Amino acid sequence: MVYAIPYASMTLSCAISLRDAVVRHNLLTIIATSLLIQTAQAETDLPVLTTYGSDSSGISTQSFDADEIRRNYSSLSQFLGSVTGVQVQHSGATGDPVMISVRGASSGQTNILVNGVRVNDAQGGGYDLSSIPLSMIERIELVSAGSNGGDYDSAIGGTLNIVTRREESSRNLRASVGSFGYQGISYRQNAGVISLYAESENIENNFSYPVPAPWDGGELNADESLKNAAFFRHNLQIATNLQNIDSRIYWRNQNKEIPDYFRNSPNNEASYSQRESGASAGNLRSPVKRGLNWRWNTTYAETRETYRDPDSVIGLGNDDNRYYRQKAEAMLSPQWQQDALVLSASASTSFDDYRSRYVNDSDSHACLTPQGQCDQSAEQWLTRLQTGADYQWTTNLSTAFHLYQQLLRSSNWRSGAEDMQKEAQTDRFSGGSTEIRWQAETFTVQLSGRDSIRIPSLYERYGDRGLLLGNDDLSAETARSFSLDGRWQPDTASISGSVFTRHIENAIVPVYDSRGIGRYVNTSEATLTGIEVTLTKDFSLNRLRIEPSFSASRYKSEVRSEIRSFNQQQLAGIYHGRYVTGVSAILGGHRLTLQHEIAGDIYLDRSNSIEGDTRESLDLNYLWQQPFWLASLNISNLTDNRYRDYSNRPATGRSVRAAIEFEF
Amino acid sequence: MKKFPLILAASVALTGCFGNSDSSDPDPVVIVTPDPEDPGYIFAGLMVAADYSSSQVAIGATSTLEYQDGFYSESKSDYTLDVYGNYLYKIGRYTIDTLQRYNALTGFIRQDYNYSLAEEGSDVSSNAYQLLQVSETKAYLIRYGKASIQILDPSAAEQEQLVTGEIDLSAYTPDEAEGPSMFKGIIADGKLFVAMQRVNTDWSYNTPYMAVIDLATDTEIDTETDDTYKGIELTATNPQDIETDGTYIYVSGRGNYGTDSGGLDRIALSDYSRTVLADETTFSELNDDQDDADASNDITYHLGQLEILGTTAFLTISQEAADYSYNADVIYSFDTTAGTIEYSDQTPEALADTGIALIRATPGKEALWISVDDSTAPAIRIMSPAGNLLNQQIDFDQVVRDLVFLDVTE
Repeated sequence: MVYAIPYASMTLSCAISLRDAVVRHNLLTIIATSLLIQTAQAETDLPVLTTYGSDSSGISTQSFDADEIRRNYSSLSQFLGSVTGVQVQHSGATGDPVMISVRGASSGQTNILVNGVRVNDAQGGGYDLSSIPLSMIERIELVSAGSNGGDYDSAIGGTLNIVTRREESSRNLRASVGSFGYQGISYRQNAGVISLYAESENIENNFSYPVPAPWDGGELNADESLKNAAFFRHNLQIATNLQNIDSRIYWRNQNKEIPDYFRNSPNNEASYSQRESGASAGNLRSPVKRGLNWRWNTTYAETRETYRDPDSVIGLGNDDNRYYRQKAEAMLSPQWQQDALVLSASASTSFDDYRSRYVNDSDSHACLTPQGQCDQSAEQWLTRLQTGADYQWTTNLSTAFHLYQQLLRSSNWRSGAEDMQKEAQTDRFSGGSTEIRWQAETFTVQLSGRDSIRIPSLYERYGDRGLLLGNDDLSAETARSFSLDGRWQPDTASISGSVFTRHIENAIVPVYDSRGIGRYVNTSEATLTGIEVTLTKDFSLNRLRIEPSFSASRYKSEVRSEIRSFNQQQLAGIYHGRYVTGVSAILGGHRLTLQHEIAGDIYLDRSNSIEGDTRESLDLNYLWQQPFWLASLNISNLTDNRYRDYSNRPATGRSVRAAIEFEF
Repeated sequence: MKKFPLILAASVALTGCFGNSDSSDPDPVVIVTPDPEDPGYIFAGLMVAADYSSSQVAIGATSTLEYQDGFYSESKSDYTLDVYGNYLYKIGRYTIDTLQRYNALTGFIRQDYNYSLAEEGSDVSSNAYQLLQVSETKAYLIRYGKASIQILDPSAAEQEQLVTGEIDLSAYTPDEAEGPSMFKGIIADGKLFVAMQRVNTDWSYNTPYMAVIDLATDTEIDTETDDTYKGIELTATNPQDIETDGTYIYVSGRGNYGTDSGGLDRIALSDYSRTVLADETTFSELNDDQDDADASNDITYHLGQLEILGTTAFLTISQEAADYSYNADVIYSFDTTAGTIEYSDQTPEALADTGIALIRATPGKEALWISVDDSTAPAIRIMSPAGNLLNQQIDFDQVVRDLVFLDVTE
């Protein structure tokens, strides 16, 4: 995350009128949003739906097989955007940060796990999903309700767990090309007990957009190709599985050029680079046996980031800013399973370290100028204890109950200042979740509730040690949620629905005064209620199989705040209405998929004075699969619809991506 | 006296943006009508969200204190407002670089134009702070991000006709900076007086100066008060405001974000001689070291904004702790005709321990409008020239961070 880019360019805009959110049902496509049946075995008696996932474990836990996703979507964000209840907050072009919102929560309120380890950045609170390529992923699990234990429960919005690939059964080579100069290649294979994965992609991102004030003095808001927006990423992972212990080491290097959206200056050379390496080991994926099981996991990651603006185009000076992060976590979890009862507990400790250095700012090390930058260091220790019980009362009825407690110690200091001015805090948080589920042959219903929190990020707690002040009194956001989820699967159809409500307290927002000095404060509470429905059907016409689907989500929210302009407003940055329809046609090895999405009723600001554009997109995917190879064509935003995304930046427009994949 | 009915469209509050929409203009409906017996002025206030995520303009009448907000809503907040006759200008500052004009005669709905203030071929934001218009076809643009004042033709029908000249002030630019950080100007005695902060790239300040421009020739006058520059050296570091009573120019500066309190200078129009009216000792009673050894909670005052009503000048002073954790603003006044300047605390009881976002005098100097800097209860309070807080208050949803008045009576 780039925190030090001041006055990040945003195009000048006035809010346009919200168009009516009328769904056009011209074409239908199956999408991978249906909630899957919980079953102890992989095989089911259900007809083979072209769902993008293996069988999952719960009504509110969705599990998706990444290989199936990859053949129908060009990126993780594109797939997640099709999932009911998930909104992708993508601020710009390929390579720009991608966050997700689950059930109307903010991105910071959504936990992102990689192989079961929480990766939300302690300094900023979010995690950029664009840093993980689809080809590196084995499975994606999305939890939006229920009582699952571990890090799945403490998140206000939901939890996304990305499981990376381990064993490879064959060699796989995939190459792809696409719009705006996209090129990608990935390779994976087994070499004895070691599986190897390597991936590289790059894109120019030179899509057309209206430039508010062209650098060359041209007509205002005339279309130009975006300059200085290229992105590349290289990934390498080596994984092993010995004695049911998964180990992996990985390395990632990526660079994203930062465009000047306002003027599209040709002199702009601003860029943001990241190099990350890490290792992990654990047995979280080993089979669970009757009796006592010991599960453990340990991980370490180190990230070095550099932001440069050598020509002072984006910011106020010649920036050369360095950021360094370390993260380590260890977890031990005993689990006892006997017939209908599962008792679990876990203890984990994580450590996050953050340091910044503004190389070209002579005052930053001593922090002499409050309006300027300040080199700082921050640390966070988080200890988490969790216990729970799952009990299967009868064949149909089961319950789960989990409690957690978290102990947080954090500190921040000015790295080179004379007096350092170290600030430290300790906090304790507790919460829990419960669910009751009744399941029949074709029908499942679940009622769940949870107490969850969002711990303030280090940046919110301590500020930038300049004119964005820290706040010793900043409390965690807390939420109480209730969800009623149901699923009915008669014959070859699936109908699922959810009704939920969430009440958030101590919402954290930044507040500034007339001097331009600000801080994050707890100032609001909010209530959000929502309903989500997904319908899928599968039928055949001779050899042709047709799979239509429809999903809808509708939210209602209200904020109550002592800040007058925030009071009685709708939560910002969330589409409150979203409808996705699709259809797939499968004939032999050919599959054609069309998907239409329309989303609206969004405000970009907390005061609700800026309405966001309605987002509408028609996507097409064609897949031709043969025993040892497959070819795919993906066209997103087929009609080249122009709109501004949730960050008020121009959406990319129509893009095409073609790929070919070999298994040998 | 011509009575001008303020006509606003009912749909302003719904769509929130006008001027560059492709849709047809809404039918105007009378929403706010000034008192026909005492039309007063039209006021326009720039309202800014507490998290700086958006801004909008409220337009109303001083006679009734009614207003309509929701004009020109933007997802940015770094704007200022200026007026000339029936025209309302909205100036986009850092990296926005726009000049939008609206007209009271069309109910502020139709946008006359939206011109770019970015310089062709330059990557440095113009960061315009103020537009001083002197006629239908001539105005001066004070630009914080550049080394020159631009001369504009506000009646330009096309972008290419907007800029008609420049006045170079690059002599005042500190090393490695883009310009002298000109902050604000005022026109008096046929001249343009421009206060310059002269900020370095690391945000430290150099000695401030005021340049004097002859409006007849658009050239800088050599005031012969300084050995280095043509302009007038100021002691009011980090100038924030500039006013005139017709005899003198007054410049207030806030100093820094530390222990430099700034100051208040008075410049005679007759001979440009400078008198220091306030410095870091003048209001020492407002400082407070808390009687402890902890420097982080020491309170230092900083001078702020300045307004003159008749022979009374009002000055806002901010009291800030070293760690910025405490901020309350007070209002002091002084008699501009007095031989020895004496200050008196005019802070109304109702505004004690409250932040003040701005003070503005009405065009006829009938009253002082005070914007309360409190996001939980933003409002404008009105003070008489005698320093009495009137029993009038205008409540807003967001803090008003800029305020202008249009006198549309004939």
